Amino acid sequence: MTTFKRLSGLATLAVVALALTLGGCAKPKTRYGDPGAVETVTNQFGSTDLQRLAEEMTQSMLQAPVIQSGNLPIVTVQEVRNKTSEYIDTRAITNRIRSSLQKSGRVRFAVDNADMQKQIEELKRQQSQYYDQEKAVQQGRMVGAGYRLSGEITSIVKETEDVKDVYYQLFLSLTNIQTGIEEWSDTKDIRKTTER
Amino acid sequence: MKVAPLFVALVAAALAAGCGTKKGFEKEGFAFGCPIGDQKVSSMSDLVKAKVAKEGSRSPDVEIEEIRCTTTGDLLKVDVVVYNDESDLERLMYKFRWADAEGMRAADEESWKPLLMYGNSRQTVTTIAPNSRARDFKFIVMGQE
Amino acid sequence: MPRQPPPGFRQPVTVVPPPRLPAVPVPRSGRRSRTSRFPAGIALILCSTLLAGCGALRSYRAEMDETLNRAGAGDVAGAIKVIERNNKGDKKDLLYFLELGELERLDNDFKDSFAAYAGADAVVQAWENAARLDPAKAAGQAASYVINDRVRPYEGHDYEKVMLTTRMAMDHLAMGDWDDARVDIKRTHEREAVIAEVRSAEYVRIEEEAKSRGVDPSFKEISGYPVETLETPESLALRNGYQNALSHYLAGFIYESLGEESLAAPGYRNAIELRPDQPVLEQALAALDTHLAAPDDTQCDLLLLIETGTIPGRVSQSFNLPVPIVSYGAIINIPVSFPVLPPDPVGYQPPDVQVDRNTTLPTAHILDLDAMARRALHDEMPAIMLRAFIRSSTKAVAQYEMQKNIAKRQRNREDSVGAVLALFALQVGGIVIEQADERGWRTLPSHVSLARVRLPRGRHTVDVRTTSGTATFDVTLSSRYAIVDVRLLRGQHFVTPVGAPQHDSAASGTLAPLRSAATEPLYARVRTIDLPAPPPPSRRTQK
Repeated sequence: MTTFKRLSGLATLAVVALALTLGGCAKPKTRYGDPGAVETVTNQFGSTDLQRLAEEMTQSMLQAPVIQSGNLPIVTVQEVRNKTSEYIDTRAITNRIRSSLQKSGRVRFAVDNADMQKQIEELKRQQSQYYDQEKAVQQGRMVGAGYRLSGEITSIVKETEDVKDVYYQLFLSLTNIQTGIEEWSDTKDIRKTTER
Repeated sequence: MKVAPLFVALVAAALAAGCGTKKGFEKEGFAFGCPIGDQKVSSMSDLVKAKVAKEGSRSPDVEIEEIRCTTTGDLLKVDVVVYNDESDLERLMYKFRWADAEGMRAADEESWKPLLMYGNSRQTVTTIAPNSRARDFKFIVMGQE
Repeated sequence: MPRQPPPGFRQPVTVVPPPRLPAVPVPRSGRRSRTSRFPAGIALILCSTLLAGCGALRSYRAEMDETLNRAGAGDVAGAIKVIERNNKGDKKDLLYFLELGELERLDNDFKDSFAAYAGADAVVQAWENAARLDPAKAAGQAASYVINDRVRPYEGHDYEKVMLTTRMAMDHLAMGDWDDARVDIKRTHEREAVIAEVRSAEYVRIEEEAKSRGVDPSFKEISGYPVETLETPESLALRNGYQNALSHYLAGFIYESLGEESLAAPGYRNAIELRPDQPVLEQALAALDTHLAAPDDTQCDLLLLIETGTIPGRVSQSFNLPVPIVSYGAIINIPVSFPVLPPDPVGYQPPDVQVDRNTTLPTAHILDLDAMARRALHDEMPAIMLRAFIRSSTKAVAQYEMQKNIAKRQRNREDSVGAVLALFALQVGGIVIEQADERGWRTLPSHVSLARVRLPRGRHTVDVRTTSGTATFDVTLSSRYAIVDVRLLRGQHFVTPVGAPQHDSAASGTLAPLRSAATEPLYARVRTIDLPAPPPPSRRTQK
């Protein structure tokens, strides 16, 4: 008697559990969010980190004397080295800094390494017979940058069974290409802790 | 100078509004270095009231103590002192919203920046205007859940 | 005759072997009403057995052995036919797509291979989306299933999920589509992060659940389980059962070829961290800066991947699981089948590769899928055991009750045949229902080694030593970066075409000359099966 009761009880439990697992998959909802919102989904390098580092760096750079001088320095963006083990596209950071600086109207940017190939291709294309040579762009008129922006991002990750702590540090510097003098540099950091 | 016509406009506005020079203020239309337009600002708390906006449903339990401004070159520089007067840890986020002399938006909306406040602690948030058109600002805070 | 379990015993008691079926039908006695309760309970179990039966009766292992034998004999088309024959239904499952994708790769049909992988990826993506939304819930499922593992829809082992997008990237590379390969490789490391999230949540869940049920889900508790097959030095040396150095190295290589230094560096760095002390891997990171800054010197950076063997398949084997019944304070041994990975005697990786008969390149053993499969099962065993405990406790209670009942009847000299029969039925039902899950992506190689060299563009000969002689093939290089993938499968070798970027967009600091129209095909179809030796005694041919 007890056995049967126990069995049927367990069977009911099984059915309920099964129904729960099957019925549990409610349709996920998709909505638009605020791209500027603070994102703490995981402790990997995220959108808030990118925005924050870029904005803080821009603000710091705007106060550099070379840029404040109003001489519209020409800058080329070099690779920001990723020294972490995370796949951080540092170009996303430098692109944001670059567009903010450009909007400030204080800096101009020369074509960078990554875009050089495309630039040359277009320059050469216009030399071909298909173009009106009077209006085509001329070779040998590109303007070189006076300064280069470079840097690196590093991280320190500490992890135990219940806590994961990540520390990121972005270092950027602006160097006078002619003289090799570093005109400005700054570090900005972020610490994130996840408790499980 | 680009600032001159703007300055004149501000002074004119201030005069039109009928507010005279007040003790302790360095320039017409400015208080503690910060642009106030034709608003009546006679103390720091007035300035804070004019410049700080709390957004979102959960407003953070912190006090904005001071706001001071200066210009470096032709860019407005702002210091905001945030004070957590309670012993609890407070997590909030903030951003600045920039307006030009006509009150139009002067730059893209900033992203929210998280700020961790220990209990009974002060922190100074500093920023610089993203461009020279940005002549006025609001400091916006929101609680972080 | 069944022994009588002493009341209130605490020692594990091996349950009676299924008694021989009485030749006579069950006597229908007048006291039937008292015995009939048992068959009702059994009916329930048998019923669920029958329901589960259709899915469970298919032997995935046998199917795949046949497929692999065909492919290993060089008959890839025949192997694909076997897969198709075994998966006739409209609704194809994850494994069908995985195996088909891999076989189409061997057949150098990368378009069809990619299509098959895309089918598999849809399944994995559904899991991934659910896991991203709520990792805790995805983890919880491992502990909450009440039905047999074999009839659960196949979700894929973690290392398979990672390998899937890696393979998709390799298909794109073989087709010369490096930009799409970049998409696949980016998804690979994003997927890895999701898996990590779910597994760490699951680990906690299972520990809690096991504690609350008073069981120890350590597979060392299963008497006779071949622990050493899962705790090999290689498997224990891995960081976990899903992070795969090949995927990260490939990411590094692809990002490097696209001129993205900040993404290439972590790719190589992760590969080094996962497979430490291999100079070939360390070189890639050390040379990354200079490679990217250097002008195009008309050399080609060739990455050679040599894949050997086939991944071991899980085999179902029956063990006695001591199931505690808390309310009785008893422990009952219930026969339960668990997956076992047979030891793998041959783990051949070529120590070096020859190029143009004059240069010997050292290889790095970048991926040990054999060890990963063992580690994956090692890490999965607690969940498998917990589920076995949950399912067995019902049976253990029933069995305990019945044994007591039989003993009582025998003491009272009552008719016990019905009860004995019921016990027998219960155990037979148990044997059918408790076949362990043997499923897994079986066409994957067990080892991958890599070699890397800078060569002048043009035609080159590559020699790879195998257990059965030397495999020779030609590659034609026409770009700054190229990948060639060789699969040695039981005496056959399959070479993918040279995967070269159609748009060699690696940015160079110098003003590289404009790319002239390709003077030679970007990749040559060099599938050559010209091994001199007869089918050798290579990995797992003799089984």
